[in-house]
Amino acid sequence: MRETIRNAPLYAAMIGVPVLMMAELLSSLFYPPASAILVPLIIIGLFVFGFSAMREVYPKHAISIGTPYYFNGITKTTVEKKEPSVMKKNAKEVKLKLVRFNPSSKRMEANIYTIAVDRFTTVLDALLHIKEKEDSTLSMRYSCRMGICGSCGVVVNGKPCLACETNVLNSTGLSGIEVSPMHGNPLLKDLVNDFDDFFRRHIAVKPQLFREDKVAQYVADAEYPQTQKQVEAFLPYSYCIMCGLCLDACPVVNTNPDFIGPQALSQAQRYLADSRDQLGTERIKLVDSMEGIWGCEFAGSCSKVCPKGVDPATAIQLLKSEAVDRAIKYK
Amino acid sequence: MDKQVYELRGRQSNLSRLVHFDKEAYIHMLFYRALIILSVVAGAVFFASYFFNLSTAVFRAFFMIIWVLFIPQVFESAKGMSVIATRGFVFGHLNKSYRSTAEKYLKPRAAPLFKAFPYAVLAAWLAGLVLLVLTWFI
Repeated sequence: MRETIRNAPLYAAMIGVPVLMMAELLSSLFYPPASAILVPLIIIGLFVFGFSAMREVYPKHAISIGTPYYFNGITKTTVEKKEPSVMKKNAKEVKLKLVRFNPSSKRMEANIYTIAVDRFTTVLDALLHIKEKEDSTLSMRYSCRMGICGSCGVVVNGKPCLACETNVLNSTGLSGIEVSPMHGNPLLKDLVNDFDDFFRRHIAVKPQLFREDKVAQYVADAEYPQTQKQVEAFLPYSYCIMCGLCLDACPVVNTNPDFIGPQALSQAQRYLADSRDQLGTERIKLVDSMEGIWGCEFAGSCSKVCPKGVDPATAIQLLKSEAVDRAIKYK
Repeated sequence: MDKQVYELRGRQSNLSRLVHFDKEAYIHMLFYRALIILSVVAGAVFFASYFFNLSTAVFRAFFMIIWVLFIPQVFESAKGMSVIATRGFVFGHLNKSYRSTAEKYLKPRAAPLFKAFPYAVLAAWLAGLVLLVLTWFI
């Protein structure tokens, strides 16, 4: 619980400074002598807030030495002038701008395709059409085509989403639709991200049930019954399909790759909230760090893009409150 | 052959990606980062005012800037408290089918109050700003 205690000044200042400023405003109106105490407290509060938050937002190890960083602007745009090859009944022509990562030039490149779509065409359908008919070199990842496997995460018009669950016509603006790879995970080629780092983070929170009764848990007829309320406590966090959209949306992950990210933290909450798990405080300790729960700045973007309603932002706030509770109890 | 990956994370400019899908978070993050720097600067200015004869206008201007930058923080902090108190039933984005079944077990009775709480805090904070402008600058 060391990190919880180390972070206490930041959170105290975050709430304390506005309260003191409000008090200073009121005192200037009704009781000016109080300023003599309030102003020094505000000064201390501002310093505490500034320096503690700096440690959170600009950590020493945020940019690892030797990691290559490349310009992510588009360097080359190619317009494909081919006629749409498939024109079904009631089909519409849509301009699809495909931004893809070229590993040989280490640059993003864009191609614009004109494709025929109907009202049921998903972004994944459109990408598969491009791969089959226009450019067979296009690399992408997909599997189930029904929002279950979580393989086809891409960024459509700037928003991370599953390609198989995103309708083309609903997402098309006046200038067409833009599809690009996720930035919140390292890039491999075109629309394909590398998920090794993602799974390293996932494994770091020990995403499995731990029991003290080591022998009994492997007995075939051992049962760990739960009430409906106990199930509801962890159920939404178990819906995670590990698509990585939350990591892509998270502004903290995007600016500080050392932050473990919303997916792993939501899984920590999933097992912490499970009445069958007995890792307890040890589980909190795994995430009680600046790279863990205390790195979260509660932007909430992770929850807004989650296709399964896992709500990682809520999970992280619950973990924070649990960490504080335990720090107070066991101190 | 070793896998070669390319990293786009680690730059503060990546915050601008939020503009496309979450403007509230973008403003929150932008103001937070500005506040970090300016809170230290303002603290130093306030501290210096004890030793040097700084104009009252400078003190008040910094006070107001910090007040404005705290607007998203005050709102989001209050929202965070509501989220914790209601386990995400208020301001959360929990799975819809889960919500419909779990509401009777987990949703607190005071949920509407928790929903109003951040707005009430924000209203008080903005009222303070108006009062500040009226009393100090007009």
